[in-house]
Amino acid sequence: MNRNKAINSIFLISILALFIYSCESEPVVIDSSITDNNTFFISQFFPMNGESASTQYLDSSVGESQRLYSGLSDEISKTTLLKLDFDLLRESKYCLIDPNAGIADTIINELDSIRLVLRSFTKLLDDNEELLLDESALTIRAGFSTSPLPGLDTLIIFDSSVSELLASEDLSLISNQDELPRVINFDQYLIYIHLPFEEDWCDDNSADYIIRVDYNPDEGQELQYIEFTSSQYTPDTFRPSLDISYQERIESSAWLDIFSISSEQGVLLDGEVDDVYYVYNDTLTTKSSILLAKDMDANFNELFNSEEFSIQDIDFYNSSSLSANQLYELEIKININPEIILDSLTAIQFTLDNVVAIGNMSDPSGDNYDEINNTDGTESNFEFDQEDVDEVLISEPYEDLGFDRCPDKYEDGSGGCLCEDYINSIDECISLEASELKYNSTGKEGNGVLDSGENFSPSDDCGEDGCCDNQEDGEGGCLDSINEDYNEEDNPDPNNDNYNLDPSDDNWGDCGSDGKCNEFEAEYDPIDNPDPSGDDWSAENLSGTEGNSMWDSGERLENNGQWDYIDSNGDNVFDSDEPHERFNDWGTDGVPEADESNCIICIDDLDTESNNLYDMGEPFEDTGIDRNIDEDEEFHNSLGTENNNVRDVGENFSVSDDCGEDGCCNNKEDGTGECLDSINESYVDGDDPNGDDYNIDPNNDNWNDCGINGDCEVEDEGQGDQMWNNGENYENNGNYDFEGSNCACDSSVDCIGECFYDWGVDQLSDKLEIMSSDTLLSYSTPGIVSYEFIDMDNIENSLNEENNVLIDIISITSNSDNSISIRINITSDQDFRAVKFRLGHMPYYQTEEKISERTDYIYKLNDTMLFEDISLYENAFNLESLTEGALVVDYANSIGFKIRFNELDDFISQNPNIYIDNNRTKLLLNFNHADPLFNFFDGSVELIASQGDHVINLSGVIFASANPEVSAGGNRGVPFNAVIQSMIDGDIDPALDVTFKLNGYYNNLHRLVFDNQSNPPKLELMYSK
Amino acid sequence: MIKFIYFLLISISFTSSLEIYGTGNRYDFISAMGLGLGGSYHFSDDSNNINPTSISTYWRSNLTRVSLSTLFLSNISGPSNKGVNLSMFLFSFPISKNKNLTFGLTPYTRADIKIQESSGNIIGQSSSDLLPTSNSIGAYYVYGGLSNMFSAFSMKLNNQNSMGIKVNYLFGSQLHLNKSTLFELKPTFEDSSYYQDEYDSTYQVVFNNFSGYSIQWDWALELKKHKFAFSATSIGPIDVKHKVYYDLYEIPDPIERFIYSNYNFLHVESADDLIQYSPHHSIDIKDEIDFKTFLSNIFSRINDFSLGYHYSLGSNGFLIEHHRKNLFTSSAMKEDGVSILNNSQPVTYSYHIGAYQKYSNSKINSWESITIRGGGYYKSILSNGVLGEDQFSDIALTVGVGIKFNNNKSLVDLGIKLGKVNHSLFKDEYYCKGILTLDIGERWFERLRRK
Repeated sequence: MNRNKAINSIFLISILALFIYSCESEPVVIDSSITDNNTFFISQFFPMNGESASTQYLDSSVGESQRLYSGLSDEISKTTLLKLDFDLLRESKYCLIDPNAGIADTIINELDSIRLVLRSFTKLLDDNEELLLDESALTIRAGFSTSPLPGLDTLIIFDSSVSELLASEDLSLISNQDELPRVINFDQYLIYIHLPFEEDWCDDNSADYIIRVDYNPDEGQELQYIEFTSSQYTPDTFRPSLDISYQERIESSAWLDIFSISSEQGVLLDGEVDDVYYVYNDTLTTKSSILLAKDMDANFNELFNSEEFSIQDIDFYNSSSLSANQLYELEIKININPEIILDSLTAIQFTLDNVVAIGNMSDPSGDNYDEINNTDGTESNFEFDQEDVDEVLISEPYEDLGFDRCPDKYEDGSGGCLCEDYINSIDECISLEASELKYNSTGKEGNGVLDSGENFSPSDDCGEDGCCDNQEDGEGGCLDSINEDYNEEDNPDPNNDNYNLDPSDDNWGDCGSDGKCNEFEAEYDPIDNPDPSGDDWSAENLSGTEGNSMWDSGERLENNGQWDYIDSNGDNVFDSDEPHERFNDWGTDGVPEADESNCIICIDDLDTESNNLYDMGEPFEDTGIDRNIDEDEEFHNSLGTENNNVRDVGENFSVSDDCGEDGCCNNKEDGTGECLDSINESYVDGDDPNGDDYNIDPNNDNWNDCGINGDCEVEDEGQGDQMWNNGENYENNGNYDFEGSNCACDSSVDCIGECFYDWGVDQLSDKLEIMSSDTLLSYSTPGIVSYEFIDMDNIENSLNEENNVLIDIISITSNSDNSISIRINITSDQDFRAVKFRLGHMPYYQTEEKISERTDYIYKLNDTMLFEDISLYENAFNLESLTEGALVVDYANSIGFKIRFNELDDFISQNPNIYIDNNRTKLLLNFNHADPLFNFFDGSVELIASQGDHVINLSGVIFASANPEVSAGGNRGVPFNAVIQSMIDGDIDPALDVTFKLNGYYNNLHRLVFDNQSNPPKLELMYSK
Repeated sequence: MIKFIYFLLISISFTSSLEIYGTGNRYDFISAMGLGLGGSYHFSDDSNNINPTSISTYWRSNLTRVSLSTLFLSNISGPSNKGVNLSMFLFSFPISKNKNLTFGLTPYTRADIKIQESSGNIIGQSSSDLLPTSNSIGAYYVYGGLSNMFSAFSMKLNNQNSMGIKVNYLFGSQLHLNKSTLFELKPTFEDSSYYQDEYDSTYQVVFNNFSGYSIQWDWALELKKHKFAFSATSIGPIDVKHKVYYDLYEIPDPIERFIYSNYNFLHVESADDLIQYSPHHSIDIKDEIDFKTFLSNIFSRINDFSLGYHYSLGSNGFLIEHHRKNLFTSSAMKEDGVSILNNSQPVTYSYHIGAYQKYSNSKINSWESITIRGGGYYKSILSNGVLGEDQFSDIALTVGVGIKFNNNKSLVDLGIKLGKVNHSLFKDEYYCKGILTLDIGERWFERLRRK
């Protein structure tokens, strides 16, 4: 046994000892040359000689295009043709119409209209809702075809059979008639066409409903064709669709009040109408409220039913008290809501709620002035009172509006108010139109802020120091006079605050060989003369040097993408002593000799290394001749605030520039929001014709703490002391200001100055004082009393009699006129001023049927597309115009080209498992802008590669560019990794041609021609093994 | 139990300069006793001449035995490298007189190595229209290897001859995590040099799953004090399931990756991490032979063989052995991406010498004997130019001590070697390795027979 223990102990100790022994290993560093080429590789492939050619593929379909065309292009008229599969509609709910159908039938009761919606890429309305196309040139015809049409989406391009069929069809013209409602309507990118729908269409046997849209504008018309989305367009909600409006029965439900109090003698107190008031107006939220109060104004019941009254709004000051221990019996007569089907109503559940009982106190705070009993009272003493409470001055409330007694918003700008009495008749002020107001807090003119559209004068752009260069003292400060040390060349910016990104002025900007961008060319005008030198690159000016995306002689040198030198001696040969950008003379491989042994993918640089000449491929510093990047150029300052064309803190902003977003100061405003070229002769100083002045104090009476002179521009005593001083304005100064006798706001006494409310220093009028909890009486009411349309006499409810006021329902009985009478007793154990409560009940939930108007937007039914569509046009393309070997792609004319890459098949077969780099495997193409067939100067396209049925989108949008190097997705070259991967996967045979076409998702009318001579296509393949 | 031991076998492994070849460092099937005797496979200092690793000697024991060996290692120079793992588990029992059956589990090859390229492969400016001058530098991490689960039969042929046959099931998996980073060579013009700026990388994960077997035949001849032994192993078909993945990220969704700006590659620790991904390509690599054709090719596929001589005087003795290993490379192992850096396992020739002295203890209830061992070996490794080395060597001195107790039924052995590998990449790598073996024997089946 002991030996076994010993064995176990040894075993365990050994295991533990080994496990606390940690494990670690450092990386082994080895030379790359012995790791079996685990790296990236680059291979380039070129088209086989004579194999690349363009062809017109007449067997292809353009019905799959995502776009449709109506109009003129390439001098060919194009027609948009849509075929609506009416059988789909016929079998749908839209042809099952029954005016008498109920909810359960789920059938349409009436079909109102069917509207075809065409969505366009072409802008049809400008921002002012003006039509951009010639409506008279637009012809829309529709109707059932007498003979069936073939499938349009799969129709072979230039198939004339449809055109021939259409020629024999008599389609109805759909056009707007002057005296009839419009049947064709336009939105910015939409056309709505009301189809002449008739219900017997559903009974017709015709299957194909045809809509054709033709557009034949004059040559002078800017818009030559309209481009629509087709039924293939993605996203699919943008496809041609039908808006079908119809009526259908639906079920609705609502909570209904079961009753309302009768408007005639609806509530009686002890059989009389006096001293009891009630709301029978069931449009008010206070409906069914009942008030018991004595000696109210004669017309109070009308007032009670005219607007929402809360108990605080009712002035009980002149009312009399109601007696304690007296029974007040109310009889309430209610009428049943006629909308309710009585048979479905089994009971009414009454409640008495929203109860307020006010005790008999006229001055709960005891602050009313009385010349005998309370001479210290501050309420109603006709004096403005204030009291020092713990060193805090408490005053009666007052309107701190200044002497005009008018808030800024309604000030008239002349010291008065736009409304008669803001204090007591505010409604008149509120009803003023915005255009009548002088107040304008959102106005931009004169607001002291540089707004969009306003000019910022260079003379004001002096930096945060507020000091322009010639007055800067060199220490961040400003001199009163010119700094004598200032010098434009040696000391141009003493405070070093000038914003300057390119002090040497050598950055390349593609401004053309004249070195000037358009806006700096003489007589430039953005509208009338946008290119004074005529050097802009365009379809009409392919030799233009401005905006051609390439460096041209005469343009600046820094960051121009090429090595530059100055040929000082004019021998067209670089001499090492001539000014030049620095370069490393490493040869065309760009690798220094010492590292070439590691360069596994290097082309021999022959004798180009260390030859004291720049050779293509050698790294260079694209700094321009000054050999400084911008940041290193003297006076470079990206954080400078002077001359940065931005208004910075501390910079002045000239009043003459603060003209508002219209950029037009008042004296040139024409009153329509536009600006005159010269002074408006009818302008009167102070006017604001375009209404854009910033004005937050029209009467200029706001307290601004500007000192005793009242002028903030001139500093003086009292300015900025946070206290009102004599001489400063009055509105919002925190003081009650008046002249002569003070005046109460609700007094008709004619007095000068601000008014106050004579409520005492407790700042509460009596009617608010009585709402304090001290004056409210406790009460008790019954719970829910359920009336089941059986008379209930002598109802006994359990009330808590410890409360002051008891309100009880005594009986509920029906009357002969189908009304119901409810008797309520009110008693109190002390005198009281008023009792208010609501006769509440549980409302009735009722459902009902009603006709609802609905509109469906459909482009398919039962997962089948409603429309097939195509652009119809003739083949006018002249194949002979294709130059030999030209690489042309054109969707509308179904032109594409094919390429087979030399040795690519061997490469793929020898490297079956390579990993293709998605970002750097590209087909490199170059535009041939000069080819007469080239027609791609704006917009975008996408290429498609295919072999047989295998089609691959070469994802990456190609934008029109002056740069001949084709870029897709913003990067040079067209992504080709998917094609190579398909070759590796065996889906595409690298030994055969790959065909290139354009994707019909983009504009179909572009035609691209790629260079196949001086810069033929090249495939660059990056991969790893 | 077996699963637990297998887990320990694969979970802890360590780096060696020899892990850059084949599927990693080849493990010698030796015990602590064998290590102390200069890396001897065939012979032992046991009085019954039982060696825990030599299958032709197993029949000599009538005990049911469990043997557990633990290997520990530390480099003394070169890259820091130390670790510990279980190196062998054996369960052996007699099935009849002079016949024995044994089951066991041991590592066959192991790799846990990180390799960093130093210079990289430059892509010259003139080679590409799209790329700037760039340098591609690789980093590699290889983890895993093959294990050997075997069964062996041992028997006595006559008084002088005995033999053993062992069937090895070779299985396991290995991950190769290869990252190629692309650096732009940013020139500087003051000194006409450049610095490297990383701008892209590709991450390749290779997962290889191996299965195969080999057959070993051992023979021993005993002529009184002289013992001779021979062993040969023929490798059967080895199949590999080979899968390659590219650019696996911690965050698979590219949009989320962009939002969180996390472009870290996925750190793969086992095949389980790859379950949710589809490989870029995968292939089942089959050996050129199958079981039927293996028998006819059994001699041409001899992978290992060894010879040995032992002179024993009872309490002391000496031995010499010659081993040749990795003589054959399966076609499957030659496929691209299977072997580490595509380097084949090098052929090794080794010469071993060992001696021992045993001291007995007559006290009852204590240990029975203690044995002191010493030896050494010289191993020539023929790498045929792989990794810039035609041939390099591994030379070591060994010592060991063994204690027998429990009526000579149990044994605790410790063997240690101090050696040097002179591979040029590792610049004279000095190392220390040790094996601790616990060998416990009981007469289980003998008792059953008595009942």
